[in-house]
This record gives sequence, structure tokens and C-alpha cells, in this order.
Amino acid sequence: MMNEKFNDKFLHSLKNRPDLAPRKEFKEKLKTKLFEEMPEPKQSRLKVRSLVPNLLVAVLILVGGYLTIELITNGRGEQNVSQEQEPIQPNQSNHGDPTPEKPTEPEGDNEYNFTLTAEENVVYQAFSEDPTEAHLKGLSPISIAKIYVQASLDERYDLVYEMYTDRPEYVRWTKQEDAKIPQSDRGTKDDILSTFNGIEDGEFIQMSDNDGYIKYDNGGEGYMGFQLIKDEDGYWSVGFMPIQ
Amino acid sequence: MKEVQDQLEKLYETYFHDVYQYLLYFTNNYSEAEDLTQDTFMRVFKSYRNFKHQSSQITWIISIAKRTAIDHYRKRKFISLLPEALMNLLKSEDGLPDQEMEKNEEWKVLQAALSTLKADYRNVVILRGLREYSIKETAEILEWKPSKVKVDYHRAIKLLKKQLGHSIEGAVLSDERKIQ
Repeated sequence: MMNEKFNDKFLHSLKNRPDLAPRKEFKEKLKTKLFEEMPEPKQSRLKVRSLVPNLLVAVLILVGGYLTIELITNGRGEQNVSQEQEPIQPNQSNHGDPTPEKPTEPEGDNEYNFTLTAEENVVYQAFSEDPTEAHLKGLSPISIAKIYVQASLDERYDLVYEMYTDRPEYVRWTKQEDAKIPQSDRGTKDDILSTFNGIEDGEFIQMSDNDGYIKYDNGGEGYMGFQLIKDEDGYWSVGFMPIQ
Repeated sequence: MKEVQDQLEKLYETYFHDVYQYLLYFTNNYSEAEDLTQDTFMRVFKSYRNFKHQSSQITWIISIAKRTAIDHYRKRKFISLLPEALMNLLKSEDGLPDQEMEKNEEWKVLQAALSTLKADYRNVVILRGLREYSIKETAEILEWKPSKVKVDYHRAIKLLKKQLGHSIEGAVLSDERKIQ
């Protein structure tokens, strides 16, 4: 019989890693927060809900009666009143205060200097027009990572998915599922540029025959890693969640 | 209301460490572990009234922690999860004598290797190997069949050893020999 726990004794040191205890103040603070924000019990909400229709009916009857009386007494006079009102300026609220200006898009792009080389650009153009990974064959791991970043910046998620490994044990979600990921979950251009900042100067470290990562100095977050997997055809692809 | 509050308080006190430690192993990042612990308990508190008690409380709560962690990283896939320990280790590896590294860094090496595993393998190692949940409990948390827990645990351990073999072959394996 296969002894399920036969060879896991080497985990001993990790089982007893020295920092497993959470911060005491975190535990207390979270407890307070949780109980302060605890949802109201269903019962009391139901009571409130049952009162709402009755109140609404009463309000509607009162408003309806009032409007009927107003219409009868004022007749057409109300048209003149509306003409006397000053038009509301586009940037003013009806209280006359200027409304805050719409926030402008952050201009984070200027802080980073991400560009493809001429050769990478040629490959990227061909790949954009014909999203098959065949175009990427023979590229270095760093060039593959850069093209992945460019595709993410261009919001070409079809290219992004095509670049993921097709090794079954590494596939995390399907292309159909990928297409359903909302834009808001994919990160802004600024997020992408800051996350992959410095990747072009990274160093590829091969961990085994089939996987490795690019170690790069991100600046802001220090050293980071970008995972690559060697597909069964012998070429490097991007790991799902490559920064993980 | 008071009764539910008492139950939730008891549940929080009982399982807080389990949740935090699972998430610390999963993320290897204190700040992420705290954030996800908070999110997990928020979900737990919100859905407690719907808990049918068909599974034990611990497997219910850890399965919520697991989903919280996976959701979080799926949404924020650009945020670095790369274990700091791995990077620090790789930076300092050259200068450290083997014995010293073996003594001080072993758990960090293991944690770093664990963090390179895909989420399913990482989870099964954390739950079975580190937190020592039973096969039945692990199967409930991961929503797998018990047979899959056994098979995947073997595969994950094998892969973990392989990863370790590639990074610092001596330290962990020599320790394993010592223990045996």
C-alpha cells in the first residue's frame, strides 16, 4: 500500500517556521472591525422591508392628492415659472458651487521606459496579426516576457493568453474563462509598467528542465520574478500568473 | 443576535490562527496574509447564517480562506507574490557557508520552494503536510475526492523535492537523511 506520508519528514523545519504567530494587535484590531461592521440580522431587515410598501403607498396617496390640487389651482402658470429659471452651468451643481473637476488619467507612463527592440517589434507585429505562438519560437525568455508585457499594455488579451504555457499541469484557466476576466481586474497600464519595470535588464534563471524565471530589479518593489515554462515543443512560454 | 455574536466570537477565537497560518504559508508574505485573513473572516461573518453544518467549521472556514486567496491572486495577478525569501536566498547563497545556511535558512528554502508550486499542489502540501489535516478534511476543503488528495500530495512532494534539488540540494536532503 502506498504510504501517503512516507517521505514528507523534510517539511519539519517549515512546519515550525519561527514567525507563524500573527501580530496580537492585528488580531484584536480585526476582531473589533469585524464586529463593528457585522451585517444586521435578517429578522430586523425583514421587519423594515415589510414597513416599506405601506409607507410608500401612504406617501404616494399624499403626493398624488397634492399634485391634483396644484394642477387645478395653477393651471398653465407653471410654464412661465420654468422659463424664469437660470440654466444650470455644466460645471455647476444646482447649489451654485463649482463641481470638482473630473480626475484626469494618471500619467504614469512617463515614469517608465519600456520599449521593444527592433527585432522584438517585428515579431510582435507578426504575432499581433496572426496570434499563434509559432511567431515566438526561438525568442529569448526576456524577449518573450517583453512581448507579453507589450500585449498586456495594448490590451491584446488574445495574445496574452496565447503566450501562456499549454502544459496541461500548468494551465490554470481556459481561454473562454480568460475572456470573461473584467478589464478592472487586469490592471491599468501604470500597474503593468510599474510591475514589469526593469524586466528587460533581468536575468533568466532556469530552475529545472521545464521551468525558470526572470529575476529582475523592479526598483520600487525590489527583486521580482517572472515565471516561464518550457512547453512540450521545447520552447519557453509564460506561466499563468507569471509574477506569482 | 447576541447568540450569533457569541458564536462568531468563539469561531474567531478558535480559528483565527488556523486561517492566518494557512494564508501565511500560501502567500509567504505577512501583509498579504493579514489582508486575506481579514477578507476571509468578513466572508465568514457574512455567510455564517447560511452555514449548513454539513462539514466541520474548520473545513468550512479554511475552504473560504482558500477561495479568498485564489480569488485575490487571480484578480491581482500583476502583484508580486514572488517569495522574498527566495530572492534573498538567491542573493545571499554565494556568500553563506553551507552549514550556516542549513541551520538558519532551511525553512526559508522550503517555503520558497513551496511558493513556486502551482496553487493546487501548494494547497495540498500546506493542508496535509504542514497543517496536518486528515485526508477527509483536506478533501472537503479542496472539494476533491480523497484519492485525489493522496495522489496529488505525492506528486506535490515529489515536485517540491525536485525544486529543492535544483536550488540547494545539500541542505534539505541532508536534513531529511538525519531525520530518517
